[in-house]
Amino acid sequence: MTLDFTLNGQPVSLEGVPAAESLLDLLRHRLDLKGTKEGCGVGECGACSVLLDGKVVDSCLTPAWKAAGREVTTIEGLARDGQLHPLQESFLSAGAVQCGFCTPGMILSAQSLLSDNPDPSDEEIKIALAGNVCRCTGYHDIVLAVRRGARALRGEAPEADES
Amino acid sequence: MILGTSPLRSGSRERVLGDTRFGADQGQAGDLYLACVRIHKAPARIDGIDPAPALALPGVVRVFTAADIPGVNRLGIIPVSKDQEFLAEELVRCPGQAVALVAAETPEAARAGARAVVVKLTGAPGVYDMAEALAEGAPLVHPGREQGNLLDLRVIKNGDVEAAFKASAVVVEADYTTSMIEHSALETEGGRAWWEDGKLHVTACTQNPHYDRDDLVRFLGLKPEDLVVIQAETGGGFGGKLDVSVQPYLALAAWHLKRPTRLVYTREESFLSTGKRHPFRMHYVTGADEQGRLTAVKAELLADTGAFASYGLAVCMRAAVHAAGPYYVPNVDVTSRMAYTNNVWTGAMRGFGVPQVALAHEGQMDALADALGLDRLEIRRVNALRPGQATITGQVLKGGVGLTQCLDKVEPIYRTWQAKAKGDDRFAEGVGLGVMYYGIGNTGVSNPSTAQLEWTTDGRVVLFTGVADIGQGSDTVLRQLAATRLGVRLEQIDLVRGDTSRTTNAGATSASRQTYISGNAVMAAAENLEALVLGEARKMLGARHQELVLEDGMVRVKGDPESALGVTEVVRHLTQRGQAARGEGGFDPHTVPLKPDTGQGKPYAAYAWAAQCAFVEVDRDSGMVRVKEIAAAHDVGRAIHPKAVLGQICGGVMMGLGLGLMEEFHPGKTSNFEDYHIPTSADAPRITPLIVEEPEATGPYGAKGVGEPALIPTAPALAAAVGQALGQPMRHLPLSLERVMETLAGAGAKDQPC
Amino acid sequence: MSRYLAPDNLAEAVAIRAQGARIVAGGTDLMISLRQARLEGQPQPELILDVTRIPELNRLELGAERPFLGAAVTFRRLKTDPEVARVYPLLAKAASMVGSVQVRQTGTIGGNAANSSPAADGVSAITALGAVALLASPRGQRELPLSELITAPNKNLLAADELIMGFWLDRLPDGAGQAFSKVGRRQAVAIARLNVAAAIAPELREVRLSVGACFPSPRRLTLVEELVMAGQPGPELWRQAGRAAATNFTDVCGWRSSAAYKVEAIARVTARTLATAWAKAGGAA
Repeated sequence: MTLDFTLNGQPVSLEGVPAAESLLDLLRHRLDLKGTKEGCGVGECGACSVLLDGKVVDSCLTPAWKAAGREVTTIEGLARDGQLHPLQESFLSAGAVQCGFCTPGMILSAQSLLSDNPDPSDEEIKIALAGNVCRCTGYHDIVLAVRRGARALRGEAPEADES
Repeated sequence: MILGTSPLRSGSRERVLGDTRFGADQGQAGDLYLACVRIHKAPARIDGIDPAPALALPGVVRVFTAADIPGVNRLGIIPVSKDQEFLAEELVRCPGQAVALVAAETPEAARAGARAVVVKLTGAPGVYDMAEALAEGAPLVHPGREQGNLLDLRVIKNGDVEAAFKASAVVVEADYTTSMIEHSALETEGGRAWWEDGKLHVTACTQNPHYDRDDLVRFLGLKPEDLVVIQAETGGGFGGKLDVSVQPYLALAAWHLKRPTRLVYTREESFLSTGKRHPFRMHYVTGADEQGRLTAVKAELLADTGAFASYGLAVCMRAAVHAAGPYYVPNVDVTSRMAYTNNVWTGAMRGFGVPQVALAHEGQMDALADALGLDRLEIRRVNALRPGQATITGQVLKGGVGLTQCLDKVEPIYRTWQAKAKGDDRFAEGVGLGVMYYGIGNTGVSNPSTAQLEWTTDGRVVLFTGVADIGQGSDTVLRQLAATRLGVRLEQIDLVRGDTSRTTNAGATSASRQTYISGNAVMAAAENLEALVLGEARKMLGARHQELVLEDGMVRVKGDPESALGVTEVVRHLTQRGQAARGEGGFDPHTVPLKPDTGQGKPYAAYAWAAQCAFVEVDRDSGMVRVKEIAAAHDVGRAIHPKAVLGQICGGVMMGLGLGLMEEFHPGKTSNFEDYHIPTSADAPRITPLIVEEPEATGPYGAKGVGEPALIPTAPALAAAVGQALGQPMRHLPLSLERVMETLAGAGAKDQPC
Repeated sequence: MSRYLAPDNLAEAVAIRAQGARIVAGGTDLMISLRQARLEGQPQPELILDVTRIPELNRLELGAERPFLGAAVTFRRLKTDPEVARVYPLLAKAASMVGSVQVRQTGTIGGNAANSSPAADGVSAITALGAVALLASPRGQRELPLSELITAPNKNLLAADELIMGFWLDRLPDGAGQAFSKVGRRQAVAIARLNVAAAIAPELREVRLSVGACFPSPRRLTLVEELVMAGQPGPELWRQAGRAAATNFTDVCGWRSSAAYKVEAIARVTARTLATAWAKAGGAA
């Protein structure tokens, strides 16, 4: 059986993927895409978050075969032609990156939120990102980054006072 | 301007792109995979290890036991207390200790091999409670050890506490406890070892590559030049990546098999086998006069080091030194003891025992204020250490004392919240304060750092540093210091970091010491490089008696705008003579060791100060605590990179929130994030971080440190806030559902549900 | 070679299940147990049946005479679907409190039931709604109340060749107020320490109460429901009901030291949840 899906805009066709393999193992070990991180393996930390048809899932809890015929986006697929995604830009400018291990999952989770709700409040951001644990930042600058990225994605000018 | 601005942090662009390769991401085709054989019940005597069933499995290459370790099988970060057998020899001392190591062609084969190794064990009586461990007749964790289960005893004595208590207007006495805490860095321990140019190379996430190198060299019986450690990009540390973890296994297998090896811990293995924060039991007696001035503090501290010493000696001493808090206390009697047990070992974690004692010294301040009818903030202000006063170790503080400024910053917020905290029939609200001071660097011992700066002929400056950046931002801060001191643009500074073959020892990324100590080392290197360049330029210009200055990549003669030389020209001149344009620098803070019998001395050259306040609500139905707001004022001396400082404060506050409200590691039970909850974004309050800059005369441009201070006052502030909400002091952490409900239920009729 | 099959019709799914396939819906529980098995060297399944593409299992027909909730309906859908919010707001609320955004994205109500954790928020919610599971196998279909399907923590009566198609739910009387409360160790992404689902019809014509994370298997607390229906609505009644729920808990589970918290919390949270449901039914506080 062949597992066909779209990965970061490119078609992928794989043979011999076991039924029980997780999407995380497929990405990290079979395809060597190390931007997707493993923090716990049991869906509690969100470091392995990827987008499946644009919505965030924990790749450790997702059978690889669920990707069949669908679109998978990992952190490697967010920037296009060397141009950072607005959320990647805002994570940089807001100083939301410390150790950076949660960052790929956090950015994808934020992207999923903004596809549902382009203008979330801080409280909505905090609830939506609760599945992505960060031990470094205290979330303060991550919330700021998501707010900033949301404005950019809506095509609005940056806020005057951001803190 | 570079200082005091917040340029984009080194490495963050790679991080948002997902390009960064952490320790856990290392590996190449053809690597061998490792798996540890770990024992889950301890203590146990090892009667025999039979590797044959494992070796019979396809893909299993070799099984190692302690007998295969060519060097010294005793690891641990403090030289005088190395006691951890990385593969147990005769006795398994705590659950999770490894007894054998399997190398195999695939991860599955390695795991299968680890399961197949037959270990014959005989159970032995153990001790799992720190107080019982010190009782007569307790089973010894390290049989034959002269001091039994007592790892260390530290005292700080000054004046006469008993007489002072008699003369006090009020004396309060209480017990406090804190729980065992897991660092929970998002990246689990991982790395790779391989041979290159006849040397064994090890790369792994770490907070201290040079210490790793030295321990691995001892472990394998090699010479330092035979082994290279390179810090992999590190996904958080918080003290948990100070001791070695995967490195000895990687190195041992690669050394024997002459093949690359790879090992990444699962979260479960990380929880099971790496160090934790020491749980503390504390008994405090504190006296004050009628104005609230502290008269005496008597503190008895007891902590559990688990089966191994790790950083225990440092935590035991630092907890003692900080036991009375950032206050002037004329009479003290502190006893700090640390006991071995058969629990998982504990080691360094952000704050080294100070977050634990802060719960107690702050609880005592509130109790005194309440007993005397004084304002809780004012009693802290009255007692706050000031320049010219002595700490409990007899160290007279000269400057860089910013506690009252921190209190000034939080006071208006504290008063506003106090006025707002009303609550209703469902939610009780409360506000609490926590303050702290924290000695920068290691306690009363030499802890030097070194650095080099080299000007290249193409106009760039290379900073060589052994400092491990684990996410806190030292790569950027050290570059900012070098650029400022040399008068070049930040972008001109390249970095070579954390590679023992190319950099020299900077000491650990711990004790909030890198900005202060390694920052000073970089400053010294810059000074020497400048002197070298100016000296050479002087020769080239023949400007013997004129004053030369270095600015914007030029050497200029003061008062003579016509004569100037490009630095690269000078550098070329130097290199043509076979001399590199290289400056070396070092710094070791001036300390005086503490006297063993009284604890008097000068443990640190600089102190950071902080005050935080917290606003909480408690659900009277469920006992759930929600933190609404936290304000955190921190005296950092000088914020070199303000955004990084604010990031440290907010991150520390959240880690403190975890310590205060929810985190509790149960040895033998807790296995993963499913049963060990750390705060999520939904738990995050509105945080107001505030920077106070009371310059430290000995710091680089006045800077001190902030990494650990950020965490320390939070849990005490939360305990006070919840205590105020419930009308009952909360002295035991975490403030779990059960503890809060017990207090609510104890309040009885005055607190009916609905 | 192992196979992962995701049929788009029930007949095929039933046939695959009959070959001994492990069922996956969202994967949020199954993948954890497969990982654990892998780490322990246990065999991985040879055949996995993905049930999420079967139309019957995705049915959500709450306006029907006999409301039906398909097993493969995700928590995300339960949280966001306007009909769920209108007909069963307690279910929408419960769904919003399950796990994380990621878990709600794929996790399903059927999976929640099949995993049979006593702390499952979705199970607690639909238990209050009188859920009767509809099961399919080569032998045909059968119905079993959810409170009978789940027998003990992580144990249920689902046969080796059976799959859960969905749940029949009771229609609630017009104007019934509903409430759902959850207590966890943190504000989100927490396993329930306690959850309470309650529905009260105007004039106390009907009362439904289920308490989760406390009993070995899901149940409505019928004695407490009867007590409430016979009483005078108001704070004293809610308090009595709360205490009765706590007594019910100690009667079933016995008294252990770990129960000290539960007893207090059940009493208080149950009282609060009933009060909220009553207020939503238009009753005076």
